[in-house]
Amino acid sequence: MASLIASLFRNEQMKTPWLLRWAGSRLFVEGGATCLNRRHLFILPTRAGLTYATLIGVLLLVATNYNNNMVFAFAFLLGSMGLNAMWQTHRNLLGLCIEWLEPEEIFADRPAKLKLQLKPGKRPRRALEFSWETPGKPQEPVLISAGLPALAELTLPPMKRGLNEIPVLRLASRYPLGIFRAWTLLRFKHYLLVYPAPSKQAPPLPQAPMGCGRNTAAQRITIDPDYDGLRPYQPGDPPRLIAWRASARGDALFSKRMQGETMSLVWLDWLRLEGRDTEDRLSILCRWVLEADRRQLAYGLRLPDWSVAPALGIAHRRKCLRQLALYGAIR
Amino acid sequence: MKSRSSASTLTPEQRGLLTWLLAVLTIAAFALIGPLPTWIPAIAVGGIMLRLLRLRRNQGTFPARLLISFAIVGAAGVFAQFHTLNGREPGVALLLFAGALKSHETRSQRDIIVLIYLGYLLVLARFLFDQSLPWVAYGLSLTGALTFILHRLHAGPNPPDWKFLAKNTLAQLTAALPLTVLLFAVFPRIEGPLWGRAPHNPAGVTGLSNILDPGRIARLAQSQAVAFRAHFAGKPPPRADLYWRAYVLDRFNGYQWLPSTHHKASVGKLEEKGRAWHYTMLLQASSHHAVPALDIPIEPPAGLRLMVGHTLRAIKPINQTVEYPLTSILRHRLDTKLSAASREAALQLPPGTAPRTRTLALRWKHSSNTSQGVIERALAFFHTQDFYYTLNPPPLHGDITDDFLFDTRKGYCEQYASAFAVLMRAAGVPARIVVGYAGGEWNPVLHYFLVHQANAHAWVEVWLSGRGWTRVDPTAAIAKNRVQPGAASAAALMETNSSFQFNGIRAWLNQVNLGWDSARYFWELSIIAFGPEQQRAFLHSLGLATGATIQGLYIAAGVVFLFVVIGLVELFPRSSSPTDPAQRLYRRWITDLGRRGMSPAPGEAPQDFAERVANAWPEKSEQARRIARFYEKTRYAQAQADEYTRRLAVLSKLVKTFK
Repeated sequence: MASLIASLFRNEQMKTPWLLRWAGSRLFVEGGATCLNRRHLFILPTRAGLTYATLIGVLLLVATNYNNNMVFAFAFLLGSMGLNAMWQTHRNLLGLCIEWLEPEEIFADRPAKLKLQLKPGKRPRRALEFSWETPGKPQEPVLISAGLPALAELTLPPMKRGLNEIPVLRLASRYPLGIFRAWTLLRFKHYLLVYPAPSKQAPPLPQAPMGCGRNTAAQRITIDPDYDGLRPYQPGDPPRLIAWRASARGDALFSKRMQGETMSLVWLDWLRLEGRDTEDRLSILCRWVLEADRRQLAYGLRLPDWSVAPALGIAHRRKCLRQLALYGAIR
Repeated sequence: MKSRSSASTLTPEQRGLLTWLLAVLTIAAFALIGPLPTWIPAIAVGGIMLRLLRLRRNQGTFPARLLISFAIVGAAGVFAQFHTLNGREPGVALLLFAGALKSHETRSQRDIIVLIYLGYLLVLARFLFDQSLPWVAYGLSLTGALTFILHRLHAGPNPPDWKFLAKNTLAQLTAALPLTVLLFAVFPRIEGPLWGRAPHNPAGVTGLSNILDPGRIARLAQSQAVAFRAHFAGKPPPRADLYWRAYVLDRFNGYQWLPSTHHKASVGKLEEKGRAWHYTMLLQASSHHAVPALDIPIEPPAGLRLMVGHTLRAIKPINQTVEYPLTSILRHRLDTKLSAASREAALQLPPGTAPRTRTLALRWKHSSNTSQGVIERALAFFHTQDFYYTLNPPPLHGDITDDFLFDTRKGYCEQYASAFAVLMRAAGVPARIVVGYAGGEWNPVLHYFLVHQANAHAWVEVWLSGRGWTRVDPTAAIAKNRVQPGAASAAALMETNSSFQFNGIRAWLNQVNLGWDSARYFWELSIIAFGPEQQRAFLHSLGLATGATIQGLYIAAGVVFLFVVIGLVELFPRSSSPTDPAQRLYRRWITDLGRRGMSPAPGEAPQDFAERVANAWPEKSEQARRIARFYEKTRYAQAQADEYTRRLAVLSKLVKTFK
């Protein structure tokens, strides 16, 4: 019996916004994109709106007391404008299309941004307020106006390593008069892969070669099949080496790897970090991966249950970080 | 002084908006200078200006303690001025101070919003003093400005330019009009006041009063304020009969005429001789009870009663524009028999007053046997002696009647009426003073007489046996060449036949004046005077039931109807106009060309079509190609917002100049 009661008052359930419990299912965003329709939108007067209503009430009282028809007329004018603001606010969100864009790398406890593509349709959308529906103190919403298709960059709340649900996103609008607030909650069905936080006090990168035996500097590395012969642009690379075509696909510049460029190789090994706890180890390994990648050292990664041969490249880096992110979870 | 919070808590945009808001508040404070004692709006304007100055210098706001002490001092000042904090003037004064103080306490968007709301109240408070059309224009423009600021405050980052927002604000006001009209017509009204006593005369211009002393009417004579309008459905009465009586005064104390003290006296026995004239009296607020009516009113409507001397009194003071259906007769006999008491009252003169006047009157009495003879002698006296008619008569010293009749001989209608009545009484002819209005401007379009305060007039009624009380207007006896220009309004009344033969610019000006007054008349009759009674009548005339509940239902139905209309417009947008602006421009170009017999084949690409156009109009070839190029670029090429706008502007110019 006690457990039943306990389950009724489970903390998680209390944390869910009442609106989600009531209207949850229709607020899911299928396939990462949604266009807001009437079923998505809610509207209520704001506190300023209640004050505005009080103002009109006062005007009506004064008008009645002094039999003043112009005060009546203007009270009605303000009232009608306020009532119209209801559908005007609603209309500012109605029909707005929002598309979720695959985010860049996200590291735990580091500020990261989620990008949303806003398609305003035939009318400009003004003063859209985005905020995360997270428990605790509500944070300042991000204000965005979209006259033309625009990109909304929202700072994600800090998240833990691993797969994270995208927090529920609240999109609200008080345009044009601030007396009504229309809003919707967006529940994306996507998950965010959050890499471990790169450690700030990581031991130096293990130097290659590591001891003697099979791992020697002269060893030829097996080239990762994903290896694309490119490396991120580094200041000082001559312009002729920049891979323009590949760079155009993304935000970053890439340089072509020169033939005969020296390639050192390192192993980033879980076992070398004996005596630290799991998260610490993952954090240091993450830092090492980034460091090796930055210094263009071919690196291999060994985890207790997974390993990858030394290689370089974006795909390799991503593969390694993914393993670190998901360590200990179902892959 | 330590600033508690820096003004920089506001963003630069909010600071800019606050500047505009303060400008609007300054105008609203200035507009209250008339109805409030000048020091109150002056201090408020000073306070707002100080905030503007500090805002420009990016100085912080004052500490709360200081503002609270200012508020207390302000309230104390208002109390010292009005001896109360309740009522219209003190209320508006407090509101004004609240606005000025709040302007010093604006640290966030929320504060700005509160200040905007206060601004609405301040702007609309002006209507408590005057509801005429110019003030409506004032109210509309300042309400629009405040709404614009509120709108702009919520437009978020990258707000559109002010022209777009102004257009939007105007659209908001327009969109609110249907509902406003519905609410105005149907919202259930109850008769005020809800609390306190009825407010004082709103216009600030006092109308006639029930006391006549030198200079009282002359002060009114310069006022162009409207006193009333009288609407005659058919032919108007002749201009010679346009005497509107308001008060009858029969008590003279040597320098003043006062109303009769014996209230129980009958209103007067009337023998009706002529036809009855029915008309509608639209009376401006005056805070008095008197209702001027065409000489002489009969059958008072509800809310009015007849008083001694057949004048009309409202039961409640006239604090707002009101409308009464009145009936008058122009040919009549009033009190053919005079009771002894009434006769005595109408002959009463304070002992010892006006000795020279009495001597003159007695001489006339002995030389002419009838009352009629005495009257003619007196009128001739005014006509032939050097009496002047002027709005600025010299002050009278000693006995005012003697001084006027024998020394200064310059006066306004009240001096003439008073002196004439004293002469009559001294000669044994019962006489009394009537105060009211004379004349009026006929509006041929809307069929009413417009009577200004400047038409205020005083004349005399003498009692003649067999004829009863008979009107004598001594002012009209003054030789025309001795009437000072500008003082003519009441005196020129007798020139009834020539009054409408204007020509040239004067006629045109008169037309404009009448047109403007027609608008004001409509405004006052239909809008300002629209009270609970008129609302019931209006709804019944539409065949609708009345009552708070049913009227609430009408409003609900109206709101639902409007929202359904809006919903339908939203659901079925006009499919014919493309949503993409570039596409709209291109479509327009094609339509233009279509009129010249060129249209693209189905599926023909813009570039190909432009090539054909270029071949047909070689002199326009370059422009046609550029249109096609810019259309495709604007429509399909990725661009930053400002680049897109630039391309669109170029395309728009190209299309519009393609002739």
